[in-house]
Amino acid sequence: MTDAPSTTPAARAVGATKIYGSGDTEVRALDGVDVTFNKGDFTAIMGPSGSGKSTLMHCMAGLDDLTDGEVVIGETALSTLSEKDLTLLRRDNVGFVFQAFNLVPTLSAIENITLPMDLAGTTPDQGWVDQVIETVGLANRTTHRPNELSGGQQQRVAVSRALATRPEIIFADEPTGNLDSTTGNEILSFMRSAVDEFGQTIVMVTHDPAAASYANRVIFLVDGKIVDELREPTPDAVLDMMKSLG
Amino acid sequence: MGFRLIWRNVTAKPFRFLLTCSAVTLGVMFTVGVFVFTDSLRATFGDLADDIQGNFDIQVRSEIPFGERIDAPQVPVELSDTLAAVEGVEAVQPRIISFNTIAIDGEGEAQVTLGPPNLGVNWESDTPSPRLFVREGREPRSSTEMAMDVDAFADGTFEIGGTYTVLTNDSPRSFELVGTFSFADPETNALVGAKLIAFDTESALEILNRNEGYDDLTVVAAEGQDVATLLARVQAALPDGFEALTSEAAADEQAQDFDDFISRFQTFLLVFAFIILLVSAFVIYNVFSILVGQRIRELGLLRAIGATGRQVTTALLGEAAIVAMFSTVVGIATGIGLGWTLRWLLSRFEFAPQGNDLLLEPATFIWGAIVGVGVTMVSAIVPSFRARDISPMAALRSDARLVHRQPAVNTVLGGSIVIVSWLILLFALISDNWQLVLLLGPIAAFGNTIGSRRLNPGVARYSTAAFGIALLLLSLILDLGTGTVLILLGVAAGTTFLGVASISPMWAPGIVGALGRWPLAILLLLVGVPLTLLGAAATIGCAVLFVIRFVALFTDPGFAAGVEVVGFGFAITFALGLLALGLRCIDTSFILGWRISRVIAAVFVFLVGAVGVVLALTGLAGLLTLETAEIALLPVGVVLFGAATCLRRFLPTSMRANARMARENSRRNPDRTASAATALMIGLALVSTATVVASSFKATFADILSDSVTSDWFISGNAQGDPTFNFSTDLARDLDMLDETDTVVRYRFSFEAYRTVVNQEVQDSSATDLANSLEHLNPDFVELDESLIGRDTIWIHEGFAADNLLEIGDSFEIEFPDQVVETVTVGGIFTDASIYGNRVISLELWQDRYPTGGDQFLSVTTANGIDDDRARAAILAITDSYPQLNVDSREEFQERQENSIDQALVVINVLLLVAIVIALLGIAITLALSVFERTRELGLVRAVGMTSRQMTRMVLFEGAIIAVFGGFLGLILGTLFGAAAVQVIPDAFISTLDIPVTDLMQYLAIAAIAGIGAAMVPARRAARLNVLDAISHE
Repeated sequence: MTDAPSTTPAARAVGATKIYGSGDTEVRALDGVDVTFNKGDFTAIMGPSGSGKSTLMHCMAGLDDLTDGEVVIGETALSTLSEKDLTLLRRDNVGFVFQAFNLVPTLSAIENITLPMDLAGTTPDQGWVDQVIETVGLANRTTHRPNELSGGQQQRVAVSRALATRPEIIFADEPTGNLDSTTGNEILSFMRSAVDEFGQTIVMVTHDPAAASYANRVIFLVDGKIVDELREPTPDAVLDMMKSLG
Repeated sequence: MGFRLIWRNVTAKPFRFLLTCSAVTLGVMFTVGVFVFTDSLRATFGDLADDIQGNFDIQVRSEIPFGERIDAPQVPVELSDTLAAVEGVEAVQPRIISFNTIAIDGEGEAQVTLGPPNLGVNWESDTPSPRLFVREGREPRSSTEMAMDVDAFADGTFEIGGTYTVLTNDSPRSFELVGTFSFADPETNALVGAKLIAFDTESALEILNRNEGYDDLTVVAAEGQDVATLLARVQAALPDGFEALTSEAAADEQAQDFDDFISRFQTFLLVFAFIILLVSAFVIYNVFSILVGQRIRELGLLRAIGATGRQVTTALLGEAAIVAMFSTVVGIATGIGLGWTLRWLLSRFEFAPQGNDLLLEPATFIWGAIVGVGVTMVSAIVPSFRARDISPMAALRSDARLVHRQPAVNTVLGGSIVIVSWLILLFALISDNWQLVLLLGPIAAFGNTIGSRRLNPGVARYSTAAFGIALLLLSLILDLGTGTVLILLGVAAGTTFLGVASISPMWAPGIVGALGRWPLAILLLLVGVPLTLLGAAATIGCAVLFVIRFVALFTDPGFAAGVEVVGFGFAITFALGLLALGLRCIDTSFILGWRISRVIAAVFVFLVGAVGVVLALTGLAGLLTLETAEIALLPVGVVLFGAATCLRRFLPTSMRANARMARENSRRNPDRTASAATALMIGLALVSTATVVASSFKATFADILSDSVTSDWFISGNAQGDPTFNFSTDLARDLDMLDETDTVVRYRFSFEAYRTVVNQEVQDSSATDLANSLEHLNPDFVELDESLIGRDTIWIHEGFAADNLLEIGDSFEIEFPDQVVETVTVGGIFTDASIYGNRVISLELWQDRYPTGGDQFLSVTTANGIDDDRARAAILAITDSYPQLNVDSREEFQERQENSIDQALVVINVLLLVAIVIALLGIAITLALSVFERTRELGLVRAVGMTSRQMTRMVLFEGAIIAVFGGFLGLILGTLFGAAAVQVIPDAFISTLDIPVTDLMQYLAIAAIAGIGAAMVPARRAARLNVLDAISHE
């Protein structure tokens, strides 16, 4: 059922280094990370607390800047971009799913989904948006406000928003962290099918081996360095790997 | 709960703390400034009173049963000899003092003061302790000589030995200036801005008082003579109609006169202080409500770990107390500075209080503290008590909200409170005593609210506003005195403000929803373009001037030139501010993300709609005033508005997300939006009220001029309404002799002219040349018998006629201040009180009873066949000798009246500006807190692609929404109050209601700009949020 991942990179980091503080208090959150996320790939980033996995994701997504090294999304090197161009890049080429608080409370579900296009002043591809909404099963709840939706439904709206612009890459930060396992699995299956059916590229930070097993590649990060990598992981394999990393 | 926690909460956010304090501080500052300033004025004038009435032991003057002292009859010259013969009298000094004695300097300028009087006096040569001290030259000794005070001498172009014309009530004459003097002190001239010209006593008697007598006599007791005994002897020696009093009593009376004036001035300023504090109270209330709302989880946690509800409330009130104390201290300090600055400014404009340091009475501090602490604590009480009901569970829930606690419904209790409140109000109204209305009105309003909350929670919200409107109607219907009715109107306005404040959260979502779409965006575009152009032009202009002055500074350095350069520097900054604000308005209007063609279409639709609204409202105003021509505009306006509504369909209905978010955010917390808007509403409502009243005043005047006035020229002074103002009767005589004029009619007026003998009521009255006046003015006679015109004729208003059962031909007795009773006969009954007031008598009678007075106003008709230019030239040739007077044609006269009304309006609006600034500060604080509260949401939208510019637009648009919402409510209420005020103000002043729709629309536009301005700082903070920090913000 899965096509072999293509080898064109959607995003890559070269020698990505992020240092907080200086002197005695210096912390190397990222220490020369080289990584490539290919198109149509679903990658999970794992690692213990403070391993730098969130920092990597934030820097890859253009939310934070690197101390040294380079991030390239599609053909664009982020270090060459102004603050405004970074914003436009996020709007047009990057999708986000956060752990919680993904939606603007004053906007309805459909307004949240089309928010990036709305901000860009472009007309959403209605057929595509309908297809996404149909797939996540929100067809009859599009006019509801976030506080009228369950936690799982809210995350589905968030994933729909990320998909709606057909971005180069989607970054998901613990997207199931606040959900019960059944709902979480629904979201993960949906992300999986977005990769399989639409060829979407997704990078997900998680510490849940079960969630990581939905990816077709797992990267392990310790002390700001990539220490290992698994292809086509199973929950057990991930768990074993984590144990071995301590 | 511990003080430490309270202190931590206050100090954790110093910027927010200072913002919160600023609203109260400004209110306290203004209040304290008013007290300091007026206390200093009082002290200065107290000293002046001592100087005027301090150099003798006993004053002898004529008795007046009523009226103004300046209208009192003179003391006969012979009385001076009578008094000199009384045992124990050392010296008798006659005194003469006359207003409107004006010198014309070497350059032909009339040396008129801007408020303090121009006085003519006699040189006191008989008293051992004179008040005038020669500084240069000598005292005047003959009828061709005069002296003037050193400051008047320095103000004009004068030389000792020169000859100058002096204008008095009598014919203008030339005098040789023989010397200068100072008043009350050989070194310092303690005149407080008045200008004094002195003549020798005999000449003064003739020139100033037409040989009628002295104004008073002062007696100095012989060495060792007991004053009380002497007073008794003097009193015994006086004929009927004269009185004697000690110098202390005279000084007290003089000080009391000054004090009455200063107190009125103080009350006027304190009304504005009260308005400022009312607005501050709303701002503080809103800020505290938001802060409690934002900290609901934290407060829930406190409750969860064992704090009682009472402890939570105490903690919040503790924070309020710190805000209160800090603002009060800063407010008092800056208020003293304000008072000092005001006094300094006044001293720059002639009016020079001297010799007193800034006066700090204990009352000033007490009032400052009461006002600062009181307003803050009262405003904070409601939010603090609501916090008592926060459940410990709030700590765990993210969507916890504060709730209004509703008292249990109790029909009997609620009903009786409401009924008692209304009875209290009725009692106050029946008494027709404004103090009672002022005291009991608010109590009744408060009782009505408390009571109706227990009757029915649904009704309660509307009850306060309904009470306010009911008061408004009562003030129109009931036949109350003007003072009472204006106070009642004030109480009604205050109650209505509170009422609308409690209803407006219900209206907010609807109105904000309708406003926060394309109409507001177009409004911003339309105000932004001219503002930008104005700002750009002003910037360039100021920059050019700045460079010119700066270069000039090198060739000709000087302090004044330096100040000028700095001034232009500030002006450039200000102009740049306007430019930036204009650009922001334009930029914000593009929040909807339209293409230019859409914008043009929308502007067109907006203009059609706006013109429709203006026409419809003008038509509505016409309907209220029964102006038939204007009523026709109503259907036209409605049709245009309808057309705009139809055309609107062709405009896009969708909006960009940031516009929608701005709008939805204003709707999500209606309480907050409404109360931020309410503060601005109060300010704008009062501005609109003043504007409607001023506009009606102008319209009344225009109506009088077009309907009732047939004369061609008007001769008036600048100080209209000043009862002491008058000028030489020669002028009317000379004008009348011109071939180019037909008739000249002279006018006099006094608020306390005479009293009716029957019921001892003191009456205002005009006097004029009755026969000729018929060709000049038509007060709309119901009945007029021209054959009755004579010395003893009176024309009366129909109201006065009805009240006193008077008909044509009836006679009644009136008594003048000189205690002479005259019998007058009704020769005409008129309906238009705006011309003469309620009564007018013949000039002959007036001159008999007020023999030393001059004319106050003249109207002139042009002779047949003479064109305007020729008539004007002829009149000006005569009036050239009276540079203090204005000669106006009909159009010019109307313009002059409108200008003076506009000037008064500007003064009122400037005073209200402080309240509006506080309201805008409130909007800024509300938005800043709202931005802070939404940090995470804002971070999210930035992460998914909102640019910082879009973010700025969003917050600015929100500011504009709140401001225009407040402005909209304010305009409606203000128009309502203004119309009511026009109805209750007597017809003698305002009889025509005029609602200046375009002016009011401008206020709405200004509100939109101000909203953008207020939102600038919060918008910048929002735009500069660090996205990553914001997303992870708790």
